[in-house]
Amino acid sequence: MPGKIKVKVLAGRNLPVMDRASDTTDAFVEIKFGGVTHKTDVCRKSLNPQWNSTEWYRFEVDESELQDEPLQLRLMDHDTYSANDAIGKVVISLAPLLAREANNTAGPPGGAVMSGWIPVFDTMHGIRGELNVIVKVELFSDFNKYKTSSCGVQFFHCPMIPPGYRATAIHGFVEELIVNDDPEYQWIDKIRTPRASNEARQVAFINLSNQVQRLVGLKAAELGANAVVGYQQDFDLEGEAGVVARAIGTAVSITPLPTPSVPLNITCTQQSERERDRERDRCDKDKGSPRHARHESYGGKEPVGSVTVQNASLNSSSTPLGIHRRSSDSDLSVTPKGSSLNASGGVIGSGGGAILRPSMNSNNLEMLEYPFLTMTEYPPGFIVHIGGTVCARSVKLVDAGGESAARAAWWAELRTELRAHARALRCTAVLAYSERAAVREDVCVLSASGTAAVINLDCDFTLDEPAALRTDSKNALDECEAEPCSVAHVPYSPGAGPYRAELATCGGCRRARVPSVLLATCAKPNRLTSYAKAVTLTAVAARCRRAVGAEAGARDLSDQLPFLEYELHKLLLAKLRMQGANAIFSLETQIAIGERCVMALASGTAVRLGALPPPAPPRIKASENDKNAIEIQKALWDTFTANKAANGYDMGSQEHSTNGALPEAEGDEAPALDLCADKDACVLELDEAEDVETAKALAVRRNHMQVFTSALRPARAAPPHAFMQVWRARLGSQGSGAERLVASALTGAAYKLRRLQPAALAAPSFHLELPEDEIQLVVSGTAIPLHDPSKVEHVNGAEKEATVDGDDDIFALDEEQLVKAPPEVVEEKNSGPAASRVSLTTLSTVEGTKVARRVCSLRLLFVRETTAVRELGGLSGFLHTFTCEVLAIVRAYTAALGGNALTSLYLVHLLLHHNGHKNQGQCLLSVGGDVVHITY
Amino acid sequence: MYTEVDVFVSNFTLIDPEIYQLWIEGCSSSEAVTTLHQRNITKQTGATVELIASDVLDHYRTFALLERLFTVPSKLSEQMIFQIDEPTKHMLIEKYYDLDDAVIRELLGRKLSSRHRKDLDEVAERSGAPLRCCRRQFDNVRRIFKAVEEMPGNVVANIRATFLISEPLAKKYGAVVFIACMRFETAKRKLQYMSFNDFYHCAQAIMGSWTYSCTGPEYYDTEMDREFLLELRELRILLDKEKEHKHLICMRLKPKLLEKSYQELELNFRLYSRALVGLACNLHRGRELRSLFVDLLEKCVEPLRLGSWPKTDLAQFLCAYEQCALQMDVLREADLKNVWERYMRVVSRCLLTMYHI
Repeated sequence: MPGKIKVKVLAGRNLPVMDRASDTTDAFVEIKFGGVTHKTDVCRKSLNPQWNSTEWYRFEVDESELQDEPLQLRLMDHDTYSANDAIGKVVISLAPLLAREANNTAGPPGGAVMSGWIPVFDTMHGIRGELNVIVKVELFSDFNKYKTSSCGVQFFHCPMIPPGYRATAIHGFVEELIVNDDPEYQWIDKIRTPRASNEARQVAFINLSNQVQRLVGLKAAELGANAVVGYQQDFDLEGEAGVVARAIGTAVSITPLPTPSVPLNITCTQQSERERDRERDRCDKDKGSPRHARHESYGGKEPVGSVTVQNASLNSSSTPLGIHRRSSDSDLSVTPKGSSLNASGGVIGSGGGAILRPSMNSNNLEMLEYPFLTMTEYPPGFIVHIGGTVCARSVKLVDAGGESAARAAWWAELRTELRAHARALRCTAVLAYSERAAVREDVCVLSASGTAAVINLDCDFTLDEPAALRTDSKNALDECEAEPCSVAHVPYSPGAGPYRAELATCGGCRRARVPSVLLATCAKPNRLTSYAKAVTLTAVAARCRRAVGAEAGARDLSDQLPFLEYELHKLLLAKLRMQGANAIFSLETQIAIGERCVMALASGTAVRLGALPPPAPPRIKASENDKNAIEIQKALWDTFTANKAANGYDMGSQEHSTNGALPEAEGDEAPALDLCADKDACVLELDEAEDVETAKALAVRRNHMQVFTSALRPARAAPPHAFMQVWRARLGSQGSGAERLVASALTGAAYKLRRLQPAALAAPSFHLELPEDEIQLVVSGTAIPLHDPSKVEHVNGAEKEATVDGDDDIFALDEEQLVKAPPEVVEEKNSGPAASRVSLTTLSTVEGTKVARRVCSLRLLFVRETTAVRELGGLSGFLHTFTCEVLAIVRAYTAALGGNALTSLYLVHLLLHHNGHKNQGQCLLSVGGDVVHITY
Repeated sequence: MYTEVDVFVSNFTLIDPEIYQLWIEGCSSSEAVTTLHQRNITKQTGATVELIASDVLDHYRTFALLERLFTVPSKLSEQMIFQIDEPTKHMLIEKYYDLDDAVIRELLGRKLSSRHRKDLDEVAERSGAPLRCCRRQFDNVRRIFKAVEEMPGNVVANIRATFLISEPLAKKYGAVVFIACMRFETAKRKLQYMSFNDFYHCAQAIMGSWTYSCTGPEYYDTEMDREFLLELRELRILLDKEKEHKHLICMRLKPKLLEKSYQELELNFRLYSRALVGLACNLHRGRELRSLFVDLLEKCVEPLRLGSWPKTDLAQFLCAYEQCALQMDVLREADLKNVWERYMRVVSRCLLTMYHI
């Protein structure tokens, strides 16, 4: 009985009128946890009831139940003669509170508290008033070795070591998978009311989600970790076959930093090092990016001299490791663990696996089995080389009544394959690992992807040693490793790669080999020098499905996938080149299966790396006397030059690079229309009509909002604007519309956020789905207001609009008011009363502020249905209302948990069913992030 | 490609004042798109029509959801669904309750019941504003009227406290509520020439001087001071001393007025005086009070117009008319000086407002 929940319901407000006759409501609340239910008194005839009870409703429950079951508060209207009517519910998962309570050793006793106004949500009517509740959780210590709960493990969606914490060990990959029935497809659903059905579904999903998190936590705890970062959770709705809850994460041991201050510089002894560092620091200061500078500064290697206080404490905390390290320094590559891994694993990379040394815990076989990390951002020095993106996909047939073992085996297959891919690239680990599944009736496509890389697990906590690198090219190591460009170097020797790759000499050090284009799923490592500007790239490829039905469809899909991927890749590279960039980071690929076609969407942030060779201008291969081709070539060239100019990639690169030795052989050639047959230089072959279309599409320039990078200065105390955009349209033929839809997505967002200019866009996430014969695209992202307007280059018309007066005077006046508004708001925020504002951001930090406190992670799931789609303003109106309400509830929870911002926000699984004839619509949305408390 | 869903939602609800203004003006979404597109051409934002349309629809949906809250402005601050900063909230409410002079002029004197909501086509036609816009204003007036009608205390303060609107706007509503409470006749064809602004000034004057002035929980400044109205009857005695009154006035005005006006005054003094005093004597009757503006027009303004008085001379005359009566013994003896002042202050103001040339 190691847990106690205490609940108090204080008051309600803005309740709906439930009794038409008297225009009031007789409200009471049922508080339910597990099988126990408590009830408050009935507060008669009030839309703003006060229960004023000093009484706490108590539940004493088991720890694992605490983690799995949500607390449910049901607001009811009392009727004397008929059955009581439900007004709505507040469903509270206790996991966030538990994590806080378990880690709250130093804090005052009394448990973790959640208190505040929470909107009452009804699956049929949306938000119907608010309840003021206090929930407390108290845990009793339990040292049972066989416990099934994992309360002590903290979860972060944040894809990096959360700011404010220091990692003492990275334990490795943790995953879990559960299969359950989807209540929507149970027989009972046929006889119960839509409300009951939706609520059952919502609770079942929350249960499932909590359960899978608990199990992941358990695995992490077994590894000796105290936190899971880069936590990703997914649901696969397989219809009749049930629902699969999957979760992956990286188990780490973290300790909070005493003060969230900027780490001190480490003094380097080596002369050249110090010089380089200084130079770099100066560069960074010029750029005015403190974040950047900070990372760079502690990326310096070989600090033999003075070690700061922080490092000292760090060292002491990781003594076991340090000892172990020294003792086995030289013979690491032949440790038994390495060899056992090789036996199970593959043929290539005999020395590779061994680098993933056990951290403090010996029980890290998992880590060796799958050297995967779900984080996307790493401390400097962690990534030694990036090998490239690796991806594995498989098409499976879902069988009804499927078991979790079968699903787990599917994923295990994929992970093994991915590991083999990484090995083939001579990489030891897969970073920014993610898993996705697309389900369509019985067919599903599972994808696992990540970035193969050579990593240095010790960089984080062994600062007193030269970074241990045991790559094949050991001789080049010492100098190479110190170079900021080394991350871009290929980990394999030329010719030894798994495929014939084009390699060039590094633009940084001019010795090592680099690929001509770099694709990676992780974020750009800070040490890697690049041009300041980044661009969001998207590409969509579509193919028709030739066969439907279970088995035939699956086989066909399996045949089509390679072609689809090839097309996608080709388009993405062409677009990359058109932007004048040579690397994509944060690359995400997804597959969407429709009834008649299958699509693949890739999105990422394109940058121009200094180390990689500049992209060649686009060429077209066609017959000599094709007038059309000449025109297209001209258009492509113009766009290429214009893009390069807009991105600032055409100017000399000195100011952005650390060592001004970048090649500048670019951009000056005349647009010669040589329709050459040189295979290497050409982007496109104009053989088919589609190719012409594609080429034309490539020539279209789109003005996006610029992508947020650390080089930009966000406005102080200006909250980030998270947004979500949903499109759904009838699918045109061959998905030609899809490409346009996705490409124009960001232009649309930029226009709609025009009042925020100057602002930058944090890398948005795209979700493409093909329900029925429609296409649905969900884009969620964050706009970050920028500090210095002069830094922003393409604040085109939108900016002018704000300065040029409107047609009528009233309007002009209002604009002035609006322009004046922000500073006032800031003042208010500082003074307190408006502190109830909650910011949401998809980034892991709130830029322009400092995160004072990470509170906990939060995940919510909503089901909403309506039988009045038309009355709500059509499907758009329904979705608009629902999304607004969901964001409102997220804000309310964030505030109630003691935060004022939610970072790493994600909105996924937008499932929208619509029955036009019945005027009915149903929607499912899952949303979450990390609750933080920030100070401006 | 036929778009079925196109929704953009952000954490902080962004309100574009330009689109809001168009919505307030009663433009349909397609009209708004056309207008914005035309404006955009001149400014060259480069946004396509589709993009503008999608943005306008996003805003219109938000406005439709917000409109429910505008009816109870205090709810706008309490609600959690939209995260809007304070200045924007004020702007939203202020504009939502904004009054169109042409529309409100048509609404004056109409019964504020929901039955009459259907008959707003006529209002729309005559004011030239879209029906939607008229509906909004009608509903606003009706809502405010119902809310403050029975509320004791200062009507403007009440409106401000309940609806969170600015002082000038609250004053306008105060006048509208007052005119509605008094059921003043304003819709007569003859009165059509008067603008809302004219009525606003008249109502302000009446509220300032003829209602229960002491502010307190039991006093309503939308209610006439009955005792005062009854006392007005006694001003009849002035008619008995007409000669004396006329003499005093002529003495005083002779050097000040134009020759023509002076002649006119001498000739028709009896007519004017009888009208002014007669009006006062009958105001205690409900029907007479209601037709105050009609009477002022028919008995005073029209004869004055016939005499083609310049406005400055009229002001001189009204001033003198008030002052000279105060000098006379009759008023002092009957203790009517205060009543006379209160009466004349309003009537002078009304006449000067109503006297358009």
